[in-house]
Amino acid sequence: MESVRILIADDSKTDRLILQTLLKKQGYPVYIACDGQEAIDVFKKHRPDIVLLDAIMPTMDGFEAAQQIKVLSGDSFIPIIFLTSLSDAPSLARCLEVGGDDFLTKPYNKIILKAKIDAFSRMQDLYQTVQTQRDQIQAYTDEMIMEQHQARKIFDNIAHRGCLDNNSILYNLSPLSIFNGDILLAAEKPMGGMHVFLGDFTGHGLPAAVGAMPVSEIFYGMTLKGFAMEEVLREINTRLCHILPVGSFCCAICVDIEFSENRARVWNGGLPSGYIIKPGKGIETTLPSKHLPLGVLSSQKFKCEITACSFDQDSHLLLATDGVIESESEKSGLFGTERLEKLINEKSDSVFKSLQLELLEFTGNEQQTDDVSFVEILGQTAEKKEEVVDNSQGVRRPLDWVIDYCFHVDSLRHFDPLPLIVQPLMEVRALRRQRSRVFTVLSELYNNALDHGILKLDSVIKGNAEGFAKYYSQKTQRLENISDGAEIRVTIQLRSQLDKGELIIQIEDSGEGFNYQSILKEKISASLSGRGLPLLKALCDEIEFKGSGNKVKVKMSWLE
Amino acid sequence: MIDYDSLSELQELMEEAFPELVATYIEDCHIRINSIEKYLALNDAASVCEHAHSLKGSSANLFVLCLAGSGKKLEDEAREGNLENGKEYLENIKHLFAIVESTFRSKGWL
Amino acid sequence: MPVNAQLEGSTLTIKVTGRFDFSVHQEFRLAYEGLTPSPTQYVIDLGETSYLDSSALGMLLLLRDFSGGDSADIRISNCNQDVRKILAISNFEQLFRID
Repeated sequence: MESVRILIADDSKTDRLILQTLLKKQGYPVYIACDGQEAIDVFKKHRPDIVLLDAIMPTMDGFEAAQQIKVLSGDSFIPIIFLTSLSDAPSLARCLEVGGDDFLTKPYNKIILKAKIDAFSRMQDLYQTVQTQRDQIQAYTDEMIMEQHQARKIFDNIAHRGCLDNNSILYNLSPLSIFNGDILLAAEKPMGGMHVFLGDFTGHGLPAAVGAMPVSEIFYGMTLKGFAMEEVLREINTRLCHILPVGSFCCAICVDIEFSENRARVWNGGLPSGYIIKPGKGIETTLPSKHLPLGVLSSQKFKCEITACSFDQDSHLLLATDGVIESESEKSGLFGTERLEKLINEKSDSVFKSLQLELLEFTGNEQQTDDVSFVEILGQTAEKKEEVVDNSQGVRRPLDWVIDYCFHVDSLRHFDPLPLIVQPLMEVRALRRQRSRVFTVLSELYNNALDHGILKLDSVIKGNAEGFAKYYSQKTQRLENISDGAEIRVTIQLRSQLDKGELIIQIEDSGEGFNYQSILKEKISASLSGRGLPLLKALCDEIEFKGSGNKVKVKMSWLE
Repeated sequence: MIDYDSLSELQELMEEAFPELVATYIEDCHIRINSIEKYLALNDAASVCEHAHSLKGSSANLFVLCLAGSGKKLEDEAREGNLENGKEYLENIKHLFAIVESTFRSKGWL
Repeated sequence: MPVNAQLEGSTLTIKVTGRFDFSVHQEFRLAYEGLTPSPTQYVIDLGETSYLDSSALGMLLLLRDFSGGDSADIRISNCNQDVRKILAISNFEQLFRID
């Protein structure tokens, strides 16, 4: 251990000499000052560990010097020991008042002197350790909070807010909620309606946050691509099973709202019941947990049974993590389900606001109220649905682009190009709303080109069940034998302005073509085949065959 | 008038620095006595008090009890602004100091 | 699984999730063939079907044929508006109960 360095401030030469000799003999480095002012100067320059200070000195006395030295010490503990022959109580009291830590009275006794210095040195070490630990804890806390904010930013970059900022969604969620394990996601479905997901991972901190990223990525990605809620949940479950350690899982409630169909479909695995509420009436439907949480069952065992219930434009939906019913009050214990349901029934016109207020009043603690997660979703009328703002897609602007695809033999054999072709189209707002229509048209066009143009299959054989099977095996077999050089070329042209747009799809195959004149005249029949073209005619605004019938161009247009 | 027991303890404590201490003390006493004389003539009680305080302190350090006692009396009265007996104390101090100095010299400490 | 079948009493519910096109024709057929006794009622749940094409229409007609043709009792349920439109274009409401 480094020696304690000591400052002696005394105007008496003999005093200084005696003390200095005693201390040096005991191995302490010593600094000397002859009055208060010099003591301060030396203190600033050398930062000694302990100060021995005479009370009465010319220029500046010990009382004044002690006060200044204490200020200069700042956060460090520098003991000040007054050297004194003063025996009157008021003077001794003053020594303490100005920050003195102890007295040393003459004549100096080397044993007492050493004992005092050692005691203060130990106290100083202890103080230093506490300071250091305090600083370390502070630094650690600062770093953790900074890291959480950074992680939150990263999370925000990956998991956009979807349509959470929509007017019809009210939510209470701490900005750092993912570190409490809570996650709230909402996204518009391409064909209207909305998926909402409220999850609560087991645990806290980073382990709880880790699962949030893939969940949000899958949720937003698959919802945008038009996947059904079951598929989204199934995928999330599979991924969580894969990444979460055994014993970690995500309690979640997921709701698929079809505003236009006046229905909601609910899956609840492990979260407290959700509620469908009728303003003025109260709870209409309770949505209890019926499943194990996500990340527990393997994909083979995962069941995705959905409960459907009615949800019209007047309905509200309330979802909450267990933070709400487990909110604690010193007086009344837990908030509890009963209190929640009573509140919903009594304040069914303003459930969200009332719940916020009541939780605050109940816990008396703003921090605790901030940390619970709940969300209320209001029903929408058809017109309102159109106004929904989806942040994920930015501003609408005119578009004008062409994409060319050419699929060669290997791709024709093994690859289903439809999702690839549809993907960029789903970036277009107007087309997301008619995803089915676009998909059906593309599927018809592509399958016509492949089955009839390239593979020369006759759809007439699909006339019965066996025919379907035969058609299938013929298709498989002929795909294997496609001649080199066969190809299907797909050209997608999109033009859109703020108020209208059109999509032109042209598909050309390397086959011989067919007599389209006669087929175009056919009427829809109830036979098992031959529905493709009429369907195209009905779904598209224009349809045009070119060349020998190996090239077909369709146009679909819309008004925004 | 000198606590020789305590002084010899101090001598043991100070070892080789003891002669320096004695020399410093004697030199300091000369300075203090001269100052007291000067400020008595100027009737400056505060300064008299300050130097008497120092004389008292260093004499106590070396267990020269007689000088410490006289110094204290002068210091106390000067603090009250009373220099009436100043000259008397000074003469007494000078007298005692001369004895102390010659005693120290005879001991071979000077 | 894109095609799920559930038999309750004499009602068979077949649910198609995602794409309903030629790629699921085997699964769709397996969902109703070979059940004894044969179901008397069929419900085709298209609530989670993202789109269907003319092959799907063909498969629905095959099911109708299989379950008695004109006497078949088949309900197509939970259709969204787009799916309903495609069924309407092909006049399927004359052959199936659609809701």
